[in-house]
Amino acid sequence: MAATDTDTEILPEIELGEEQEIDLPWNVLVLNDPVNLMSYVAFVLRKLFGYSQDKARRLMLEVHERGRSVVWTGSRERAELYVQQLQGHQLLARIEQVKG
Amino acid sequence: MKLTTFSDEAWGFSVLAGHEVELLRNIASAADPVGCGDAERRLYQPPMDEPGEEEKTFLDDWEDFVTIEYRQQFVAAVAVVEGDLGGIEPCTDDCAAGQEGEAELFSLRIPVAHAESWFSALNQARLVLANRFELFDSRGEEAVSVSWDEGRPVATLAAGSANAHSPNERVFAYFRSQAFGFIQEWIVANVFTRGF
Repeated sequence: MAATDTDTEILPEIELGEEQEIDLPWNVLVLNDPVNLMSYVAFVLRKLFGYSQDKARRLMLEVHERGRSVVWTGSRERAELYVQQLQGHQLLARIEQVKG
Repeated sequence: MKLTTFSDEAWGFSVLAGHEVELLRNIASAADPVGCGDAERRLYQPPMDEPGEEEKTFLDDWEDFVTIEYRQQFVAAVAVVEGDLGGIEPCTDDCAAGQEGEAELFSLRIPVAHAESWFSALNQARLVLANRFELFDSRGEEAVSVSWDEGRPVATLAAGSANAHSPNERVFAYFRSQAFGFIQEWIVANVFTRGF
């Protein structure tokens, strides 16, 4: 429903200080290492993130060919949990905040 | 050595020669990172690179809680493997059928539920061997290459690749790592992916 002029309320502008900056999302990175098998990396990505075989394979190849791949992006809390699970499977994994 | 799925609940090894039994019994000692800082750091990783000062508490908590959990988890996996190895028994006539020679052969049956522990222990062993014996250079290239001469493998160390261990020890570590990797590939293809 469209608002009429009389319903429109103008809110004061709020200045965001340093501590009030809107949080940028966090990336979960998987890094290449020469020991982990390619088939295993793809398997773990499917198991933890529920990705399709094609998507897991594409991400695994990105890790292998480019040295790293962003396998998930979102809240810091979940990113920490995913990195914990990936490292628990002995993959090289890190969290990194998305650059603003 | 032959890898087999026995049923939905078990997989394992058959036609194991004595030296292959020794290879499997070597998994636990190969997986022990003690005395190798690089292997320790590879197994127990930080959650982020180049953290700022504001991450100190997070990193301390990670060290205190998450790393300890990994240690327990990894040690438990190796213990499962060691327990399973207690079940190695001489091959039955069926298992040894078609095999030449008179050397004693063995078999080992492992519950499917233990496959993740086996994979983890084998992976720990390969990660530790790779770091302890520097089996890869800084670009991830293998330090050992193998060629074949009249059916025999001939291993060569890359030029300039030095390590505290002798070339023979490093080549032996390389072959152990390759054998463990072969078992891992089989587990991924035949046990892990059954449900996918």
